[in-house]
Amino acid sequence: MQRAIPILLLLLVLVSCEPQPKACLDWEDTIEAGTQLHLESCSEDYDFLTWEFSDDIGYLSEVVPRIFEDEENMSVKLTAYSDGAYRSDEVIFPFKTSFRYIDRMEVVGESNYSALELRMSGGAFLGGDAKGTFTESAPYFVYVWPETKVVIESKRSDIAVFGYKNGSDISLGSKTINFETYKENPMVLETTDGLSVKVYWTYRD
Amino acid sequence: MKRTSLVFLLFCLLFSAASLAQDSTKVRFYVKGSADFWIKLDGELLPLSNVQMITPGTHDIEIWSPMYVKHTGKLTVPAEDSISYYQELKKDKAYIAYLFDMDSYRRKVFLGRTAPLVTALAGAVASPIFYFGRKSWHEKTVKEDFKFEYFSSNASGADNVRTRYQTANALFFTSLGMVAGGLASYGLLQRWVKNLEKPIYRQSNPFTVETFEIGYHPVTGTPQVGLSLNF
Repeated sequence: MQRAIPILLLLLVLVSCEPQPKACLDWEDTIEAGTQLHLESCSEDYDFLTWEFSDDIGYLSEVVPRIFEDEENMSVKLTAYSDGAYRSDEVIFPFKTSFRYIDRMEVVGESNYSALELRMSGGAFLGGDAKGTFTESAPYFVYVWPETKVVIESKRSDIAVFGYKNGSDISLGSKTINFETYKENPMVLETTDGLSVKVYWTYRD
Repeated sequence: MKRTSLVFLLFCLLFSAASLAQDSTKVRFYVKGSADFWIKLDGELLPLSNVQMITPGTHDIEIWSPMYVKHTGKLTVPAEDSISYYQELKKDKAYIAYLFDMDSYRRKVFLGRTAPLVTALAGAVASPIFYFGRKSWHEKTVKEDFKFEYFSSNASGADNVRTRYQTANALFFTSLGMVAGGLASYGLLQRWVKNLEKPIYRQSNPFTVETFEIGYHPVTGTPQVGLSLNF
């Protein structure tokens, strides 16, 4: 009987040595639509993950490559399994998908232009009465959202700033940005005459 | 004269040699018993050999071989060059009973000790192997079920994996059962096996010690024992 004890202990250890997995998602409440995403989790002590989205799409992988085509309220059930899948933990995470919209343009610096205009794929946004000295605390604003809803398309695109003087537009600077990978908010553009232009984007509420 | 005496002497020698040859007959003993057997002729133990020189006539003969019943009878030796003597010894009934008892004893020891231990050991060796197999198939089952639900994968694939998992599961729990059952049986039957009496076969051999001497070998310097036996 004494010989049996180590064997039973070994079996007990084998059965109980699997750690309890922990499913975790630390995403923002809103996820960008219309672009290729590689969604990851912050799960721990797992062997594999299953993802079940509310639109009946499932994934059996560490990273989920997805494009959300529409703006909607969704949820995902993430299940983290231990080795052998005898233990699991799941988390249900509600989120909404939204395109990125141009929110506003802020300009800091000394402007001699009667108007400033932001041009990019999807539209041009003009702000008048742009003459003056603008500071970080009191910048020059050109509001876009919510009156105008311009989606930042997930592609390589140019943004440019133009100044108006004596009825003609002058290019103050431009920048080519790959919006599929560029997610900074705001996007910063320095003009040739020292103006600092910040372009903010927002998700739909 | 001298030549005549020499021829007469040679004749006498030849005659005596011939008559000596007629005094004993070579008897080849074919005894069906164990490997060794002892022959006693007219109360005298013969040398350990199956070929004996025996004087013609009728003799009392006894043959004994271990695990066989001693044979007692008469041996009539004709005045021939050589004869053969066949004798089949009967097995000792006590020895036959001993063999049966020993067989039964071994079977009981096997059932009470060896079989439970071998079963438990086999289960102990197999259970970790089946444990990992079961674990692997369970994971595959979960994955296949998921694939079937979301990836429109083949239902037969999921069924096949599930069947393999059930088999691995059955093997794992059977091996655990073997460990538990084997050890429990071993523990329960231990006292019964200890109380089993091992059969003993004691054949009263017919030998008696006639002389017994203890000496000392002068060259090797080791003690020596000398004895003579008779039955």
